[in-house]
Amino acid sequence: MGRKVVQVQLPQEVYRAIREFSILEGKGLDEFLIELADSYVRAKYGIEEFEMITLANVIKTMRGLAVVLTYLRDIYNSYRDIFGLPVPSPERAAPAQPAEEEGGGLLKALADRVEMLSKSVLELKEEIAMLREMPRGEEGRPAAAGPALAEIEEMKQEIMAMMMNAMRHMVRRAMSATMGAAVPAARGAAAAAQHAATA
Amino acid sequence: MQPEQLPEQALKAAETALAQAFVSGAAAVRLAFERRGGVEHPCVYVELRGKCADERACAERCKGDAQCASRCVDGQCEAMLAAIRERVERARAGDLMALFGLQPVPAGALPGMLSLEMLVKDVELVSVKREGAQAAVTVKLWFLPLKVPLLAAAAHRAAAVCLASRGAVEGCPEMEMLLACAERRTYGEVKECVRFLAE
Repeated sequence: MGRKVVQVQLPQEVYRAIREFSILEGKGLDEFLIELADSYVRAKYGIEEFEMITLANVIKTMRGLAVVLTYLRDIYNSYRDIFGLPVPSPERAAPAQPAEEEGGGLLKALADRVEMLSKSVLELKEEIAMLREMPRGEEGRPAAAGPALAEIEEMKQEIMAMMMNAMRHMVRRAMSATMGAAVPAARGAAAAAQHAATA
Repeated sequence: MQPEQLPEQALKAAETALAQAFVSGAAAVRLAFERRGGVEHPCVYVELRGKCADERACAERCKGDAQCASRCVDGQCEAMLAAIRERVERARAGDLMALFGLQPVPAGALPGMLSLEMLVKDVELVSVKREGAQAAVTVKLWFLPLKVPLLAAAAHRAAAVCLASRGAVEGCPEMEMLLACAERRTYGEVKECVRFLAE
């Protein structure tokens, strides 16, 4: 069976990340996506030492949460368009909210937290650097680093899972855009081949 | 027109219109936790009710012919519901922003790397009902069972509550309480906190 050629238009960094891996080597999709997500994060943010900088990614994620709250407004705006909900006249509009500081109260709260986390990252980096110089505990890792490292590990897992999810959607989107009707046909052919092999 | 190009004043008007939609029940957002593949996911139900056809325009166009007017309403409603189904299909194929009639988010376009694609695992069209020129659509967003996606799911609900009660999201106590939940360390703790708020 000849190799199938698919043309996919992806952002440059995603393309670079994908090019590093080959599904044809027989890797499972999950393994491929994990590596892809890892590579994507490294390529996109120029991250050399992924383990150590994960908290910085969490901060970006926190900023992203602020973005979620911002784009919610666009989403809700689109609700109005879907069913043509009425736009109120100015006199019926809700009373004006008190003027917020730049960025709004919620965004400011998030920004404060981001700043706080930024400080935590620096402190944590210093702590880890210090712990590295200390004698190692019984289990081969710095004795006091457990909770902090466990937290970093947990955050890393969360970000990786989210990146993987985004990659899945991206792959789905690319596949559906480029292959279209070829997918059901290919599935049918694969099913027929499997059926023939097991018969 | 792209929602992000709307002037601030228009966005405020949209926000107010949506606040009325939430108050009147034309739009509703519900947070739930449901099992899928043995894992409990945070889910957001988006329920929209409203007119799917312009009855008056149909009646004018058909000049009193009841059958013609009925066909006109049917046609308009079916077209709108077909468009919604198509949006959900596109979302399931990876283009999540299509669900809201927004442009796909290019990788890296958002500050802080978070996008709907990172948070939402899947989309489901739960129900489509129509009675005359009125329609009701329920869409379910399956969020990843992780801390940040859970908070984003809860933010959808909190934003709806804020819009319904105050006409604005910023400075709303629901959001402040959600931020307090964000400070919890583990996913389980955040979930417990978010559940408490949603009850």
